[in-house]
Amino acid sequence: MDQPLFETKNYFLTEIDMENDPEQDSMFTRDLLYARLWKKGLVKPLSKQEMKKQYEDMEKILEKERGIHFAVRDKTNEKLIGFVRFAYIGWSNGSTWLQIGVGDVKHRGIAEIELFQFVLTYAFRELNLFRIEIDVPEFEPNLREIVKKAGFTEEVCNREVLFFNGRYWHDYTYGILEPEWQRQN
Amino acid sequence: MERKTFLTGEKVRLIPFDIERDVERLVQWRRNSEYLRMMGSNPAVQYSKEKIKKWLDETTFDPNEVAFIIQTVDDNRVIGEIGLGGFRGNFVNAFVGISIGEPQDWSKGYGTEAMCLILDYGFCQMNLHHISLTVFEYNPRAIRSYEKVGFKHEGVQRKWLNRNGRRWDMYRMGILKSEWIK
Repeated sequence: MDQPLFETKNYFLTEIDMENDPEQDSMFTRDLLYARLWKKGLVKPLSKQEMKKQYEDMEKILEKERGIHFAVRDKTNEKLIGFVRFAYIGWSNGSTWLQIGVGDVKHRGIAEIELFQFVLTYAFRELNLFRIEIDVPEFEPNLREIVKKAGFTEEVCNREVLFFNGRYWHDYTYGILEPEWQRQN
Repeated sequence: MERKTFLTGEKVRLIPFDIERDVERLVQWRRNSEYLRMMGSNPAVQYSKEKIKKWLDETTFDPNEVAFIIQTVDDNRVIGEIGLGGFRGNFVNAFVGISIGEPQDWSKGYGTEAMCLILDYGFCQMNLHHISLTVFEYNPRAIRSYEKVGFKHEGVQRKWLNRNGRRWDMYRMGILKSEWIK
């Protein structure tokens, strides 16, 4: 019970700081790969005011969909680097849809590895869920490798559902079940 | 451009929701637990008229959602609901959902035709590129209808649903505009 839930080796997972996070997060959205995790429809960089509104809208949606959002911070300086979000939790089914976004490019490809370990432990041992799923686009091959190494199975190829950088791309749905995670651990 | 009657087939037409006309029927359908269990993953729960009206306000009448009532052409009966939502990208992809309310109207071809009408609308009016749907493994009637319309199986979300003492797979199916407009 004394094992800390809200940290990994290099990162803290915390609540949103409504005062300071919007400005930092809005800077990250200049990278459209990150912006698309915040803005459906028209994907564009967001101002800090728009980002604050995104946070407020997200909190309302999470309350309705019974989701949970964590800000992810670098342990060395407590600066925001991205987020982990259980965007939807179907409590009666024990299923959740996960989103992970790393806005700070210095941490991209590194933070996700630790964050997936946090996600699996938190979802299966604290939320007592049975299934976690995440959608990863075809244009993020590194993230797909990280997801597979974390133990997820590729389940669905949503064909040509994304338009980015001038063409259509597949979006892959990966899933992991609690018994599978247990066997790995 | 040749004028055509949009959203109308031989058996059904798709029309906007009307609270006064529809709310009683929407409440009635939700008294059937089999209907609820085919339609969604949330626990089967009945809705009052007030709750339905609130739901219509928040979802169906949302300008970013496309939702229709399915009405029979012959006798103007309101028999089901169909809609597009969860739009991704700039109308690149959407999810379609459909339900036919009364068991007496199941397996009559109404749902299949309604699905064709909304695909036509989604691809030819909204310029969507791909339309997705999910369906539970215990609903073979729906799966056959979607296959007949042209949806392809795109994968299985394993053991997604927990219902009736066991876990069930949820199938993902999809159709591209190029597969619809041949």
